Amino acid sequence: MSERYDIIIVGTSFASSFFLLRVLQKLDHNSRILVLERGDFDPHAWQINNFSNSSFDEKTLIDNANGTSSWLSHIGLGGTSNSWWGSAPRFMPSDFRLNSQYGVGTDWPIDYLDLEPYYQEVEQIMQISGATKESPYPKRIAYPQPPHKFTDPDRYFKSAFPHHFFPQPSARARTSTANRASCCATGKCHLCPVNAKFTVQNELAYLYEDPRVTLQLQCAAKRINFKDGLAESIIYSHNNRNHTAYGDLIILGANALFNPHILLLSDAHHAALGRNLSSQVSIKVSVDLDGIDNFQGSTSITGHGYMLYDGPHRKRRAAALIETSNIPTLRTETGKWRQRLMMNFIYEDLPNPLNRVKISRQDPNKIAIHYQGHSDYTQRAIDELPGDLDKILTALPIENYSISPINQIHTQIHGTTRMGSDPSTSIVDKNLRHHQYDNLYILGSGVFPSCPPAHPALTVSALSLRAADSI
Amino acid sequence: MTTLKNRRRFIFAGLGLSAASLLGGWWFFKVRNRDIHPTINAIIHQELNYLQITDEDLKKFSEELKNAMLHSDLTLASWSGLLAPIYANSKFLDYFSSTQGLKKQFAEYLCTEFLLSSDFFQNGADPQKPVRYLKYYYLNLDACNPLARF
Repeated sequence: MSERYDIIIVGTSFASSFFLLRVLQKLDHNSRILVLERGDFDPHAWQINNFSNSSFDEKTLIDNANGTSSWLSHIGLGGTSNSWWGSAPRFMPSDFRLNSQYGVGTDWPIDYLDLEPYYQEVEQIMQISGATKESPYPKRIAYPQPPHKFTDPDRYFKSAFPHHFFPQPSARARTSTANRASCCATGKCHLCPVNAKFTVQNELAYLYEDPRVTLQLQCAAKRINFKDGLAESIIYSHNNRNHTAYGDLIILGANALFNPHILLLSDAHHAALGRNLSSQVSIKVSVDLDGIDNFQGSTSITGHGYMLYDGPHRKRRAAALIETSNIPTLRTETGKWRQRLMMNFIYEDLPNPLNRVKISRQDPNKIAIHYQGHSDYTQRAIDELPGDLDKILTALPIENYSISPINQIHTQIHGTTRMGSDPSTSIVDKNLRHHQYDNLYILGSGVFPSCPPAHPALTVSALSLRAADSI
Repeated sequence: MTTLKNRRRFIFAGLGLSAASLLGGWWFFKVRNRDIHPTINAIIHQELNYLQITDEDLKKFSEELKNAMLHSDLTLASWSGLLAPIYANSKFLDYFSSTQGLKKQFAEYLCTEFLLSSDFFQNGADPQKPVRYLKYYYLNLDACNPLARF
């Protein structure tokens, strides 16, 4: 059984949906687009009632060959947009030229200004809430929604670090939209009970109802067939039967584990394919405050601290983005219930080619993850956290603090199909077009040549719009 | 003679191991499947002993929390059940710094969930007033987070 389409898109999360959004604006009425989604449509109400983001058990697809890390992705219509927490910062200009500016890592083949108009567009679509005037990165217009309210500890940080502390740019609505309620700060954002954060399901569902789009659920892309230097067709399975769909353009918009896996199964071998698997490293710090109450903010994560982000230290050790949490974590001593601050230090990592995705030897349908851990560059920054805290926490009166172990759950995965100008060291070019196959595009954070500390969703979405514009 | 001794040791070790497995399995599954109320009751009464909280309210809270936890974090629910007798009847967990930290974290988690689901903060966080359980706050869409200001 075979079918023919103008475009075939694999996946329905941020990357694929923003790409689809743009091509639907550009294509004529007779165009045919096939979208393949491995998971099912699990509506918001289903997710809330089942306390789960997906009816699909992604663990059955992953063979964690070495290491104790857990690699999370949520499979289903909307993908990780269902489970993300709505943190939506842009990357800093320096994130795109880490090597030129600090002599470490790899530069991107594009810079911040190339992406700026797309950042702005995504912020409008997602209705991001953020600071009205100041921003850590160059920004031409204000965020579409006003910022969420700070907590009292946030105000101390803002006073001590006026140019390095901001309300977190957030896809958790400050004011309700046509499809979303305003955030009520429940602190359980992966399953937001009031549907306040942007998801593909609540803001972009209309894309999948467009008559030009054929959405096929429970369809797993297996491999791409190539002919005469082009991607000719894609084989996918549905109900244990294989189907072939032919497309003029094939778009891989699954995540940084699944995209390289599909390419490896397609024999599209390349020395860099599947390598440089990287993920941010995060550490929680619990601070017992002295006489200051917390948790007055209007959303779950209220502040973004850039005190450890950019600067000469980045030549030697990783940048960190600091989040201040408004999720109540009360103390039990009488009168001190709210005198607690939870901070999350999110570190960038330097990609390591030995960290990689492969085809599992036991079962080719499974992804084997070989991950040896984060870089020395990142570890140096982590080792210096106590010293950093001693400086940062002078901003407010505290009793003491404690540092939690490194979080080994990786939700933001980068680097396995990296972009670059050199076809010998990268898989896609600056427009996310495959170096070898002109009609194959690869989307998502797998194309990132570096692993900045900021959440990737906004950048992934902006890159998809830009890639679709390049066609 | 030595062979006989070794055989006996082997048999006794095997029997011991089997008994321990049976006992452990029985205890694990019995505790795991039972209500987590005793743990929650013990922890919250111990940590918030200066507040007036009824067992009946803690029972309601346990049931609603268990429903949420069983879906979202089965492991936590299971281990909470296992911890109940230890927590309620001894200071065993306080002897080791790692378990002491874990115990404190778990206790603070439960107390947070309970206090946010009660009228404690609505009543001005006054320890003199009896605390009444309202509804597990995650399920209470009218007051997702009673501390937040909008």
